[in-house]
Amino acid sequence: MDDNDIVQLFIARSEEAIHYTSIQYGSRLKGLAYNILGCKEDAEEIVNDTYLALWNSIPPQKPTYFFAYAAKICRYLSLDRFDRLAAKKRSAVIVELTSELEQCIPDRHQLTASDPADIGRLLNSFIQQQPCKNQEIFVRRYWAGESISTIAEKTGLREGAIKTKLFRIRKKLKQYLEEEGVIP
Amino acid sequence: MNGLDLLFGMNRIDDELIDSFMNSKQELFRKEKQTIRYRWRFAAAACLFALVSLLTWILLDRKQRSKLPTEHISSEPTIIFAKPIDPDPYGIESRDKLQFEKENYWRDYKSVYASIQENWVYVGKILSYAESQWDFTGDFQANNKLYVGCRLYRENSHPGELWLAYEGQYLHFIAERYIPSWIFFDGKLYLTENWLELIGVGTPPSVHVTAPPEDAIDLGSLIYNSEDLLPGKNLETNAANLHHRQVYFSSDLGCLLVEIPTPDGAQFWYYYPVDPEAFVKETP
Repeated sequence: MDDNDIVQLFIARSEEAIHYTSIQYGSRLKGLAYNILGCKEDAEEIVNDTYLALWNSIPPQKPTYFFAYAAKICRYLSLDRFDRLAAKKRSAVIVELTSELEQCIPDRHQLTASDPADIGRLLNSFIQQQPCKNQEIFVRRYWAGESISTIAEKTGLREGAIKTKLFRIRKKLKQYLEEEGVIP
Repeated sequence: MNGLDLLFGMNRIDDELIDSFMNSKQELFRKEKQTIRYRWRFAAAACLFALVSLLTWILLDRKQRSKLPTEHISSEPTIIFAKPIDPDPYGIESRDKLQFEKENYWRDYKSVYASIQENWVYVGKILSYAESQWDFTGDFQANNKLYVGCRLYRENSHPGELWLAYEGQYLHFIAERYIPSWIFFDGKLYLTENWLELIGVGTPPSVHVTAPPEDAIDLGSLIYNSEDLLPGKNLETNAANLHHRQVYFSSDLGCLLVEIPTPDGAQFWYYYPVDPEAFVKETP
């Protein structure tokens, strides 16, 4: 079934919308949530919450990219859940990812507070400037939380090459954030 | 701001970008595009390889051709088979150059016969033949020498001439008669269809005797195919159908004497009057 058809089912308030979303994207959404939370039960719960959020938001929303829309909801809910969890329960993956991203922000004491919307705009702009391959690697790693080995498998590159590329992307991001005045 | 803020901030990344990388359908689409790209690259590489091969072949071919004289007629021919031979005592033929069979025959037999001394010897097979240009290639053996992969030409204006290109050299042969009507081969006489007409095989002979005259000289075995010594019949491969008849020549009588065996074993010798001079020079 096409994404548009699923959206039409949501708009028509048909419960089949949830059914087809689950068939089409259930496992991907679950994988995404699991990458962030590192817990199977939590991930399943987040996916169900995602379906509910989709049901509630479509309509009035009518997303052009249905999967991206659903995945963003799932990711947001997962990060929100992650943020609320106690430190000991935190996913090792997210700890690793945040640690990597913090390399782009060397001196925490000199950070200026930024609106999440601003950060999003900057990141979006930064990614758009990158070559296609780098965009994919960056999104897979820091948006979807995929492991280096998974990215290597999906992109056809060696793990070493992925690590090197990620290191260079982070370096560029740091430079970009400095240029944009986020890091003084 | 910390790493988690950046992770949260990434939720603002464009939907299109996310969809293009994370949606399996889009992934498939991208992979398909990539496959097409690879196919194009492969096709382009194959074309390039073919082009380089073709150019190399053309260059090598030109180099090879440049070794041969472009105007073979104007080039100085090397005449082989030019060994002087004693005149034929019977006046049948005196040859010092290559002769070849009647056009129809050697075209069909795909063989060339050369005259060396008194006998015709088999020279070799013609492996391919281009009729329109009177041009064929083949392996030939003459004077105990094997000529492999020769090209043979016969000039239209000089149908009795035969040219043979071999190892960048042109060998020139001249047939004394355009249509030789008979040949000796390995000590045996071969007749062509014109000769069958001449000696009247199949028609009642005018004279016959039971033994050749004493002065008759044995010419050897006459070989012919009474049924079909015709174009398309290969003397060599059709040997089982050939008739072998002893042939004598009497200079006193001016006759050929051909043996005609009968079913009861008796032998008759048919006389075929011939003019030795005409025999030699004219095509029947």
